[in-house]
Amino acid sequence: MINAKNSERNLQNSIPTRRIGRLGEGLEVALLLLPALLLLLVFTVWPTLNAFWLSFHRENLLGTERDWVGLANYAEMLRDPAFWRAVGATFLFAAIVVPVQLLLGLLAALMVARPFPGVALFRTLFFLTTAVPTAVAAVAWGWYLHPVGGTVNRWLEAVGLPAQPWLTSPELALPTLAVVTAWAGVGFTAILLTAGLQQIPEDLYEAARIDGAGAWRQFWHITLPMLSPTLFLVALLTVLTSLTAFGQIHLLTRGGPMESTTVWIYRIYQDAFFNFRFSYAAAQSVALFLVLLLLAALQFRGLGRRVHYE
Amino acid sequence: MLRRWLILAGIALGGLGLAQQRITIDFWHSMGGVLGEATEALVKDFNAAQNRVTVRSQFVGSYDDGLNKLRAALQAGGQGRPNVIQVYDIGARFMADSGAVLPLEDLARANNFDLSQFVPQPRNYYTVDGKLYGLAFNSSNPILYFNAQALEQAGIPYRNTWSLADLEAAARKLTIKDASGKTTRYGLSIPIDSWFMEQFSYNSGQYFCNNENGRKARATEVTFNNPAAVAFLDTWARLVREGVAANTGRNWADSQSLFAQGNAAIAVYSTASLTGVLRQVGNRFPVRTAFYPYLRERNGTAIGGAAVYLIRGFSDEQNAASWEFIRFLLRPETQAKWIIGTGYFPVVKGVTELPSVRQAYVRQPNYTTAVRQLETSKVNTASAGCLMGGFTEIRQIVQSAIEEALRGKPAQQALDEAKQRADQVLARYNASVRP
Repeated sequence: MINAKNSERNLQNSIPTRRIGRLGEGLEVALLLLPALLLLLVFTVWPTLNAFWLSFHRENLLGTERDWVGLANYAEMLRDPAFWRAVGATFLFAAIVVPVQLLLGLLAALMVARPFPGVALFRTLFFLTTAVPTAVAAVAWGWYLHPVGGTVNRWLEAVGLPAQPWLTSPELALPTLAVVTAWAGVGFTAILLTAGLQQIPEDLYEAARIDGAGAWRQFWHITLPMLSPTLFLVALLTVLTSLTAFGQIHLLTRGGPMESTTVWIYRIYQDAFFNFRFSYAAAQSVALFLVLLLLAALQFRGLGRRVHYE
Repeated sequence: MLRRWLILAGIALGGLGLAQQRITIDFWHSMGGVLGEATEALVKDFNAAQNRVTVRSQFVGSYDDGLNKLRAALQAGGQGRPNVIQVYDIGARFMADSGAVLPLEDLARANNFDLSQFVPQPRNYYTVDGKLYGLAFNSSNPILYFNAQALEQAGIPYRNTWSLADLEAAARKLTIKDASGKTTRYGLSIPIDSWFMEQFSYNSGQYFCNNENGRKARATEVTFNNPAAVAFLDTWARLVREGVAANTGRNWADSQSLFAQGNAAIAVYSTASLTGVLRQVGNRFPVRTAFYPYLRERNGTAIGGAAVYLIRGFSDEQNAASWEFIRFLLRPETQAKWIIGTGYFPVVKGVTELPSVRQAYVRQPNYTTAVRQLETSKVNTASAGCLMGGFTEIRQIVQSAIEEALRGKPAQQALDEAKQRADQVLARYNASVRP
């Protein structure tokens, strides 16, 4: 948009006027961006830098005095079995959330991307989970999954299956939370994928049909490649959100049972706000930050090559 | 004549000016729901009862949230810190070590307040290194809750004291299973909480941490693998595996709904849960409460709940205003109103003899269980409760050990392993305290 305007001016205006125009535009852009940048600076950049700084210190009980300890917090972190358990739980969690959410989201999107009678109803139903706040969803799931007399167990028993300790057994708690998390994210995934599907030109399918391609081949050779930029974006977002999932864990299991749901970010939260080890928590935050950064970079490089851009 | 009027008018205006010069102090508390309403009512009463001090109360979320807010305020150079803050029981060592607290004992002595007016256990609990730091504000202890109807149907006579063995026998008798062997009514339900392990140790005369619960000297090791705690966890785990006791996880509410719906006949909660439990049960069945169980001989439970602390760094005038608020909280009438509204027990002597309290106890005898348990508890270092730093983190470790035992790890082994981890936490805490 701006480029188009500029090239128009290139043709029309002499050089000095163009410079002034550019300068004015730059100022305008800067002014427009300022509020957002300020917010980002105060609420994101500064705390991030602060965490880096804090991670090289050790504090007294109330955090009113601190000493420089270099990499001691990081060294302790690498030796801490609780930290590694949390890292393991985090990746297991993501390994369940991401495929489940992508698959369900894609199925939902494929069903409602093309208009049919009553499509609005189905779209609303699929997207509804997005409108439910995490806290509300977590409390509701807490009811459904209650070990004794919860709805899910009652259904299981009604069809003759044994009740399961969904959130009270260390084996089941993390997968259960992962599915709840995927459920909550399906709506958002479906919205993005639906938008992606709708951008695929209809004439491609028409051409394919004329050439005699069936539904499966159309999906494999048109839908999937054309959708891949969106799929890539959604996959990236899902990995990142699943690695930083907090609310549902806090409300449903508080990291238990037996720390099976103490994921990385929950470990950080507990070390900071319960154990009052802010600098140690800061070191773990910095490590998580670096991992997220690395993952984002890897995904951009690796997935980026196979993505089909129009 | 005119002059006299002018003088009178001057006095009146001056009086008005004085009346407006009320000192405002900030009070942070963590009482939500019914308890929060009762707390706000106390503050309102205090503000209405005199015209020198205005208490501005603020609900700051959980106790941990409150501590974090305090921490943030102190880090910012003390800006916005409260005069008075409510902090949970296990924060006692931390508060004393923080250096941020004006000990209550100093103020009491300066104001000639007789400390022997305090009920001994709450006073002992908040006494650190020989000095009383906080005022026990909301004090509770753990008790047994019985479905009296189930008890009667099973032919088990009600008693107010239960050994662990008696409790186990009763729980077995109260358990109902269907033809397939699935439990339809549990005999017992205990939420997974370290507090119940701590209290069982104390009530059996054992310590939860060394140096006599950290009362003789700073605790340097935990002792939660003591014989009483091991026996308790072993029994608990066995009953869960046999389908006699329910495992509803760490969330107290999940256990409470099980009990309230008649699906567990005995439960273990705090006295502070009483109002909520009675409300949830409604008229489904009569509820009876009893003293907390013990291993061989009943020693006495420690208090739980929270205390209020005065924060350092305010002017003498401000501190005097805070003390005035504390004095108000200690008045027997205030205590009476507080305990009737909440189910906590009084922390000064002579409150239970007040007519309003006696009437309330006659109306709902279950409220007397906590007070009688307190009165009949031996006063010693075991029932004073463990005083140590890093307690919040150590509780998490104990809770994980409980979960491991409920899944089949031998109780002794689970607690021994947890002790290794907890000792590291304690050592790290002790190292972080600068004398």
